[in-house]
Formats: sequence, C-alpha cells, structure tokens
Amino acid sequence: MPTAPSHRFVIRPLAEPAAVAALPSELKATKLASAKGGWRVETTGGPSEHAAWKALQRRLAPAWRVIPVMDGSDGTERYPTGHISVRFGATVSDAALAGLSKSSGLQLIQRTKFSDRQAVFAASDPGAYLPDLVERVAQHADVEAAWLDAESAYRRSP
Amino acid sequence: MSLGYRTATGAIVALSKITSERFVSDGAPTLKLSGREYAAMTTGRVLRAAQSHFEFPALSAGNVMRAGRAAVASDELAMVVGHKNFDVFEDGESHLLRMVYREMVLRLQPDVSPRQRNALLKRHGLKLRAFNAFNHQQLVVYDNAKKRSGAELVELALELGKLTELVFATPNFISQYRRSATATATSAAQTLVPSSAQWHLARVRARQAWALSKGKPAITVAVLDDGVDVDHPELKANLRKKPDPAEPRDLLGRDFFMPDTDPDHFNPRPKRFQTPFDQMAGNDIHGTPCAGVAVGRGPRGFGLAPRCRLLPVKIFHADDLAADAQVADAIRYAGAFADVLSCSWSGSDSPDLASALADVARTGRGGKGAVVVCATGNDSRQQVSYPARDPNCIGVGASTDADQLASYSNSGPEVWVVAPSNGGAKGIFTTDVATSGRGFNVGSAAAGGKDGLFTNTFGGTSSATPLVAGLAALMLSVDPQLTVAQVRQHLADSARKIGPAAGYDAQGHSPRFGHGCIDALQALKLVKAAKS
Repeated sequence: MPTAPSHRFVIRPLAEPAAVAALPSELKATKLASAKGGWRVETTGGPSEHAAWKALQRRLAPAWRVIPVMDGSDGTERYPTGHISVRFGATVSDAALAGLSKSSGLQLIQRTKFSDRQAVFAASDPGAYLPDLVERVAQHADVEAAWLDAESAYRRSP
Repeated sequence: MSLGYRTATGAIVALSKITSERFVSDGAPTLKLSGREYAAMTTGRVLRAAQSHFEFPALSAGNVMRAGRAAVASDELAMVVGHKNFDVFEDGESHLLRMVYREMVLRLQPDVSPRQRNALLKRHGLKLRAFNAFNHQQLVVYDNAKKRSGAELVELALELGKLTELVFATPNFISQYRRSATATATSAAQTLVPSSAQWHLARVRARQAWALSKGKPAITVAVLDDGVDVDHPELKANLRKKPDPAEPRDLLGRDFFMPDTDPDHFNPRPKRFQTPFDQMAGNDIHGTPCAGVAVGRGPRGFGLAPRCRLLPVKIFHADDLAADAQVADAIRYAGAFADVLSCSWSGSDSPDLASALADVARTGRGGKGAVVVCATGNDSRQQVSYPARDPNCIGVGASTDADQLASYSNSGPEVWVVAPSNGGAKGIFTTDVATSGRGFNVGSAAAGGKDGLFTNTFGGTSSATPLVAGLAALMLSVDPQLTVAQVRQHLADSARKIGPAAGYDAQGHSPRFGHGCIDALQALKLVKAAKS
C-alpha cells in the first residue's frame, strides 16, 4: 500500500513573534535555530505540495506565512526567510525598483549593501505562494535573476 | 649543564648563549649574533633596553638618545656586548633575544624571615637591590662581586629554584619580546623565526619567503567566519582599522549575522559560547585560529603573512542557521575593503553567494579582483564543497606533515592547490580565543600553552585555506598589480608536486592535490620575476 506523500514547510511569523498567535498544538512543528524566528512543519496527505501549502496557509493566515522548504545541493534543508532577492542586469534606479514592485506585487525591503544591481523585496500579499511569485519576477525584462533568500546550516571546516 | 630558565609552571625553557660580534655595515651599527645579523634598529633597541635597565659606566642620557646615530651607537654597543657580566641568549621557545646582566629575581616562600633571606643572599654572593612594590617576598638581587657572567647567573637561578625557601628564582631578563610590544613593524620584522611547533610554515618555506616579503600592511586579508578575537595579543596589532571610511561605526570589522541596526553589527568578536567550551559545536572558536594561520603577527603564532592586515568579518553565530543574503553581503563588504577573502566553511549552492562572488571578482581591488580562497571540505568525498567549487574561488585541500593528502580532504576538479594541515602526526599551532576558558585550548600546556592563547590542535581544510590566503597576501605585497587570475596561475605554477606523479594530468593537475602543495618561496620568486 503506497504511503501518503509528506511535504515540508517553514512557517514564519508575519509580525514580531511575541505578537502572533501560538501555533495550533496539533501541528508538529520544530523551532528553527534561527535569529529570524521560524518553525519547520511536515505534513502528510494532499495530492501535491501546492495543495498542502494552500491548506496550511489558509489555516495559519493571517499571522503566519507558509513557504515550502528547499533542498540544498549539499543535502541540507534550506529555509526561505520570506524575502526575495532580485538581481538586475545593470545598476537599478529607484524608479525601476518602484516599477517592479508595482507590477509584480512586491514591497521593497532594501537595496542590497555593496551592490547597485540587487535589492531585497517581500511579497505584498501575505498569502502569496512564493515559489510561483519568484518565477514571475524572474521573467521581468530588467531582471537577471530572482530567488528566495534562505537560511541554512553552514559547516565550518576544521 | 645545559642552560635554561624555569617558567611559572615549572617547565624549563632552554636558553642558547649566542656569540656576539659588533661591526659597522654600510655606516650602520650591526650586531651579529651566531651568524644572524640584526640591523641598526634592532641593535639600537637591544642597546637601549640594556642601558635603561643595567648600570653601565659613562653613558649619559644624551648618549642614549643618540643611540640611533651610527658612530655613537656603535661605540655604546661595544660597551654593552663586550661587558664580561653581560650575555645574550636565544630563548628556546620564542627564539627571541634575552639579555642577562648581574641581576636576578627571587620570590621567597611566605614563611621565610628577613634573617633567613639575608643569610641566603650572603651564601650566594648576592645583594638586595629592591623589593617588588606589590609583593615584599619578591626581590631583585644582584651579583655584588661582579664575578659571574650572564650564563653563570642563569645557572645559579636554576640551582636556587630548587631551594625550599624559594618559590622561584630567575635571571632578571631584558627581553626582546617585551620591548617588541611597542616596536615598529620594521624592527620586529628583522627577527621572524617560527617555532618548530609551526612546522607547516617550514613545509611551505615561509622563512625563506619572508626574505622576499613578510607582507605589507597595505594588503588586507578578510577572515569570514564565526568571529575573530580582536583582542588577541598576536592579532590585535595587525587589524585593519576603520576599513569603511563611509561608516564611522565600522572600527575593525563587522558582524553580518546581526542587522546593521544593531550596535553588535560593528563588533566582529566571537559571541556565542556554551559548554563544553573547547568543542566547536555551540562555540564561536573557529575564526580566531583561521586568522592566526593567515596573518598572526608572532612571535609565538606566526601567520604566513605576518605583516599584512586582518579584517574580521563575522557571518556565523556558532551553528545557528545563516541567511544567504547576509553571507553574500559579508562577501561583498569584504571584497570592497580587503584584498584576499579567506572562507573556511561550506554550505549549499546559492545564487546570492554566486552573485556576490562574481561581484568581488569583478570589482574587488579596483577591478583587479579580490582573491577568494575557500575550503574544499572535510567529508572525504569526491566532490568539492560549495563555494570552493565556484569558478570565482580558489579551492584549497589539505595535505599532512608527511606530504600525503589528508584523509578527510575532498577531491575533485576544483581543487586548485593543497596546503599543510593536520591529519598526519601533527596539528596546526595557531592563535586561539584569548578569553580565559574559551577556545580549542582552554588552558592546557599539552594543547598549546597554559595561557590558552594558542592551540596546537587546529586543522582541516579550515587551516589549509588561510595558509593559502596568507600566501596570496604575500604575493600581492610583492606585486599589488596582480590580477586574481595571475595570483591563481602563480599559485599553480609554484606548487610542489606531492603524491604519486601518475595522479597528475598533462596540465599538472590532480583531483586530489590540485596543482600540488603551495610553496611560498617559489611563489614569491615567480611573482618577482614576472614583475621585473
């Protein structure tokens, strides 16, 4: 008998952690060792990751944002922070940043330090499915690449 | 009887008496000690140190002030080094000069009475010169009859140290080390001699390379890690001060784990500690040894580029998750204010890190590219870790003291060179977190010294990486115009082939050893030759 697929998500508070409602107790969540605050949740059931995400996001809205966990090239899990980094083909003007924000449903967090070609955004819609949003942003004419900022475990090598 | 002195822990450190000979070379007074020449600045310091502590006849304060002038210094030097009670030694541990002239320091046991004290002094022909201001059981005494040489006084101190009335007895050394603390970089640079504990420096021919360059302060190595102990006595003097002129809060590096709205963003010191304090898990103890391997100033823990500058860039808090955006920002910051970036860590592929590495390769060092050196990883895998496998990085593996590949060192086409590390019989001696009870060595003589300032158990590709970073800094010191591609090529061309010859392809590359083990002397020779 086939087992139900499991899906992994990171859930991030959309306000200061102290101000948000507690997670439902039946949710099996593991706190991340993260300065940004966040929990890892694994769910079973649901035909697809997107459907599982939709169900969980609906349940936890509006206090929490749910984002699928990514797999790193070294076998570790990568936990999206909820921010989207965008790299432009050339030095980007304030007007271009504002244009991208408006057309793509983004909110500018800050320009990337020490690079005039990058900026960090958040999704304007707290319920947006970020993997799809990043794909759309990456299609924009001025954009060279876009990706989800993520936390992961780095290994010091002594 | 062999000469030596007893340390506070009871261990005996050997002293080698060195013959001294004074002459004038190119108009400058020069002191030749056992074949090694110390130029005018050093001899001037030796002289002033001796004169300010010992009583020599007919030396006025005015003469002392003029000690730097060749003729006067030469004459005065003759009076010092030719004195029958004066001997110069080389310290077996630090290899620095220690001078002895008539005086000794004694610490009496608390129950020794003044009467017993006087009897003891009389028995050994000693006279009281002064009590220690803070402890009256500690005395400075002198050889009243002026019959003993410095060497005889060293022997006497060892003998007296065995007496039950004494806690310790030691010659009243004038130590080059103590004087060096305030000396200029140039004068201290005359006597860079790593101890045998730093075998890895001998393996890459550091001393011979230092004859060509010990590194220039204009060249900076950024160590991106879990923090660097900026108060460490052998790192402090090499810190790059106020690296970012546009940010007055940036005094000596940053902590990118903390947002720049937090004052701690401008404090790159290790911050996270938990028991057990000598284990890396939970502790910020990794960056300080890395920094020492690259740019430790010595005299106990030399880096390969001991006169280059250090920019500490904290990106990790022990094992907490780190965000790519912050690590990428740190890389860009380091690329803007340092010449060489040393990264002794690995993680997952990341578009943000890749773009940051591309940025610093393009914009670093005014367009010549910052040199980014990365650890290939310690997983014994046939795959090089990220970011070492990024095309903008120089991937560094680890070899052992027997010139074997360290068993843990990853292999693959992106291994560019290897450098000596642990994995054989010996570990790497380098700086450790100076805070008491923190670091790989929490205070054991066997682990690198009771003071806990150094560790002898460091290693991994983590240690090999800053060694290559140090070499890159030396190369840029010789020719600051080198592009990152030229640095890379010189590293490969100068590397010494180790391991089976059959392992190298027609281009001289091996997936295990890269182009071979770095050779600092050969690399600097190549750079010099190409420059001219």
